[in-house]
Amino acid sequence: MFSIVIVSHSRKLAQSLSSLASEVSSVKIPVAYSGGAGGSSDLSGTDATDILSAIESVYTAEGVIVFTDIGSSVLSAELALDLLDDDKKSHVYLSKAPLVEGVLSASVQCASGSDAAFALSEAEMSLSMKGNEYLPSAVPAVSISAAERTVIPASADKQVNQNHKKITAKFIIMTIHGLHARPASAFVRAVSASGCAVEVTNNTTGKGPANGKSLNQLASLEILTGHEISVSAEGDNPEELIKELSVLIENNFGEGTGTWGGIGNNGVKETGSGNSSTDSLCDDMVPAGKEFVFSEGIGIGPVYVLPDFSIEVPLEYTDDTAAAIEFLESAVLKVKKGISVKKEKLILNRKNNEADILDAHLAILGDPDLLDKSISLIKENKYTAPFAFSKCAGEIINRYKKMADPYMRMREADVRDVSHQVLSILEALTLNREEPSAYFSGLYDTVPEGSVIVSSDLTPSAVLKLYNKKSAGLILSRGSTLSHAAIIARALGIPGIGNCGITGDLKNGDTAAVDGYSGEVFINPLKNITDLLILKQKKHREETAHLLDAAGKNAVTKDGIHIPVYANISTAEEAEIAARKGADGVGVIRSEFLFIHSEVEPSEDGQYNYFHSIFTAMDGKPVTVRTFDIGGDKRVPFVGIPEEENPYLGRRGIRLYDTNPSIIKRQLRAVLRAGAGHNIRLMLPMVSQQSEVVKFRSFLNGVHTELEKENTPHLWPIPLGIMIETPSSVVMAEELALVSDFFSIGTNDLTQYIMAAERGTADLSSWADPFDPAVLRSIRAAAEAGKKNGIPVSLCGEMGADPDAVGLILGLGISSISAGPDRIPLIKHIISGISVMDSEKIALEIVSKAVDTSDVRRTCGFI
Amino acid sequence: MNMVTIDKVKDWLFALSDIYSENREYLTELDSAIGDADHGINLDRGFSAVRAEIEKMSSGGVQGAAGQSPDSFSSLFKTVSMTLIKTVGGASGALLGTFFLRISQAVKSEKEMDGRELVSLFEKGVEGIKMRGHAEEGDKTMLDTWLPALRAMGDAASSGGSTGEILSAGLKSAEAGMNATKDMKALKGRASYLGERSIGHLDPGAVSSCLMIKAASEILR
Repeated sequence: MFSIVIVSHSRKLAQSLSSLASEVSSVKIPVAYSGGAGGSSDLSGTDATDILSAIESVYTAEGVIVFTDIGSSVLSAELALDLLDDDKKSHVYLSKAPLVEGVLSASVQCASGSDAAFALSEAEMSLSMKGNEYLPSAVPAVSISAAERTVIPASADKQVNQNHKKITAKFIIMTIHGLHARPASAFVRAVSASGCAVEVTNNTTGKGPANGKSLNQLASLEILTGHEISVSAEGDNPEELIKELSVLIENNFGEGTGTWGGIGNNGVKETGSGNSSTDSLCDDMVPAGKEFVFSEGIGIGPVYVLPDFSIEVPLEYTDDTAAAIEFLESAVLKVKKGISVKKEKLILNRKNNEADILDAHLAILGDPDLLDKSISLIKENKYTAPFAFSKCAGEIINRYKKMADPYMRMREADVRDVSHQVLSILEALTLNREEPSAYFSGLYDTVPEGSVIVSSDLTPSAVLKLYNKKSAGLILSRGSTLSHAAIIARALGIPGIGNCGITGDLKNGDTAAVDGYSGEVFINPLKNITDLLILKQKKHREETAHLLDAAGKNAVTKDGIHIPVYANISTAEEAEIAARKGADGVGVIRSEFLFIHSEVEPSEDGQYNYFHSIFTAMDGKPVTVRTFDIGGDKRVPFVGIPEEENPYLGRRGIRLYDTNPSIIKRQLRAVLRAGAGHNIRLMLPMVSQQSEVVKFRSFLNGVHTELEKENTPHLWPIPLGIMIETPSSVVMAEELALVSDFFSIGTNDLTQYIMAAERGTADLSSWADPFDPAVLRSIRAAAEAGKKNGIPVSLCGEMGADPDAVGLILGLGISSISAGPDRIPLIKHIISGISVMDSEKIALEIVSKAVDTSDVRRTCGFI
Repeated sequence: MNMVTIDKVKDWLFALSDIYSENREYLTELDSAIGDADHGINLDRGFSAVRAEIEKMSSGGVQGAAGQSPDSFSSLFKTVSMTLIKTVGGASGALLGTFFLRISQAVKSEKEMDGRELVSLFEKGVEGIKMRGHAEEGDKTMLDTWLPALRAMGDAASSGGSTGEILSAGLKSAEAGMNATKDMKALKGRASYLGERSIGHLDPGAVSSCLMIKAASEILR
């Protein structure tokens, strides 16, 4: 057995690395270290004489490998070698490997009984391995020299023995993170001890073969959870090794139970006959990853792939065929115009492939079978424009559907897409009818109850509709944790995975199990998988149950400060959940949900009932009503919003009130009436100027005067606060504080607007990060302005639901938090473990020094 | 020719302890411009330890760090080498340690040597620095002082100069070499991280080497 010497400028570093190395295996590895200079080694530096004694303390003729860190450690190690006796020199090797990676790699090899030369070359490969980790596109780094190296079995030089043979076995790796460093080193140890020559291939990805004795080569196979590997062992009694590996893999390399440990028995597949075994747990397992989970939980059900666009329209007739034709022609023209503008933009941005698709869309709209035929149907049969158009589009779609060529079949989606655009416009133009059209809701009528929904993306109202269909889970190819659909899904407890690009693996007729804890999707799972998932959910629910018990009490920090935790809600049902989960009140009612859910404006009495049921559910606890926040991605047919290039920068929130005064007035009347006898506050969305607040306050006074004149009982006075979510509201926070009774920071929109990065767009997530110091400084500025003017500042974005953010939020000066109802017990629990004073110090350091999100996370201690 | 005795060498080493102590701030200041601001501190610490070690050896009976009799060039230089390696830290400890280690390995005389041998010992020592530091002349290092100095010393020695003449000629070239580092771009050591910005500053190692040669020319003549 060779030995290892660690040389670092820092004695502490060398010491820690030495203990890390000894943890690699239960086999005791001879490791010595040297670090520091200046006689007592308390200065940073290296000392050749100290290195010399380290080498001598573990010297063996089997070899000593010396690993160094930076600069003079190399000089000192070379000098130490000079000082060493000549007969020993030739057994000491200085390694060029990066210190930590090299030492760990050599420790594994040492424990496996490799010789020093092999360990040395393995260690030096760790640099290129690491390089590849940073370049996902790079070819798996099995360098030629390493690939060519073969392990010579101990028996190679003996007479060929009867037991000498080669066998191959297949295994499925079920450890939670795949064959990561710890299990891989156990694997390498077993292989090395066997004396067999072993080749490993990752059958799932096709990578390999790799030398089973090389940790680095194994790492290059990127063996993840659920991957199948082939192990070919050649030597004397290779069965012994395969048996040993089976045991290791079955037991998940000794990794904790409660993971996938229990199903290891089925994780092993033996082959040999050539028949592939059917003894598998599921047809496929797609590990999307935890980061793609937008809503936790377990959902199991039949897959239902949602058609992207429905173009079904009910049969209706019209007498005014001329108007219908004009109506249709103008709608088609409008869509064509829109597509052309988009196309020009794409060409300017050199996105020619995407522009070509739009060309195809224009060609579809110009197809005589579509427009001309629709017009003749209107003329001849007196069909309405939407019905005539949808009938023709439907015929074209059916034609494409029947085509043999899969590429042509896909054109169906394009026809659907443009037809949907035309029908949307036709629909918008016919909305002044008494009865809302069935068109908008028809899409979800056919969804079977209890399905796992597969779709590209969903609107918030679609999620609500799917909730009514008892959908078991959502798998979206787009959409991130910040999208409104995700927020609703979390509030409603529908597990969901988004932006994961796995939707293509799922088809109607499959059964899918969504693990919204780990981010895995199992396709056609066997019962033992579903049993385990259900068990996992039960366990998770039990864990949260004790938090729930504590959640009924006030959340008080370690330094004795009471932090109210409120709920973000949209419905009375959610209010009831929030009350059960220990909410101290409601931080925001997203009142627009009543609007989004219906196609005509709800009556004042309808709104009164809505607010009244929420206020009653909260039973005297404070409730903040946010006046309707339409615009951006939220549109409703009855609130007129002009066509906008950038709806998020357009008429949104309070900006719509002066063009829709009767709608806001009805809402305010409903809130004030329902609020009588309750503890209610009003909050304005999307404020960017002081004058908006001043103007609104006088409008609100007018509503009060009107109610008073009518002798209608209502709540008065009512505190009026604003959302801090625009950059101007941060810059002008002082001035806004003068005219507001409270602030509430909406971190989702604040992040989007401060970072100029659209929410819900997954590939912008590195910008749309609320941990960006720019966002944190904004929060701090608003909190300071509030403090200065004596008004409370709370926070109601998704950030408030992030357990990692709670301490930071309080440190920035926020006095209450509002989050999704399901998060309240956890947030309260976290608050009870935080000291505001300590958090303030960290927050202050962050806002004064941090330059980027990694600085922030480092200062918080997350990395 | 004046002989270089072991006492003179000890005096030289003691003088270096004083000189580096006096120039501690200056060297550190030079190092703070392009390095990690510890050169003066390190050398002061190292040569103070050398003085203490020699005094311990000379105060009778106590063996030097190398465990040898203190009264030969070889053991004296080995002691100096080990002491510097242990106490200076960083690259200069390893480099100066190598310098004296090579000298201790090459020295043939026991208690006195001539100027020619001294030059050849310096050459051996500097070869060690070159090998250890993987540096060349022009990289803005102590070699930019030492290599011109050695060439001048070699010339003076082969034309039959006295020890004093040899060392004076060496000093003159050492000073020129040292001054030339000011306009060089550092290619080795921490200063090389600065690239172009290292231009305009004297290299602290070149300056401390020049101080070493200057002391030698005053004491070993």
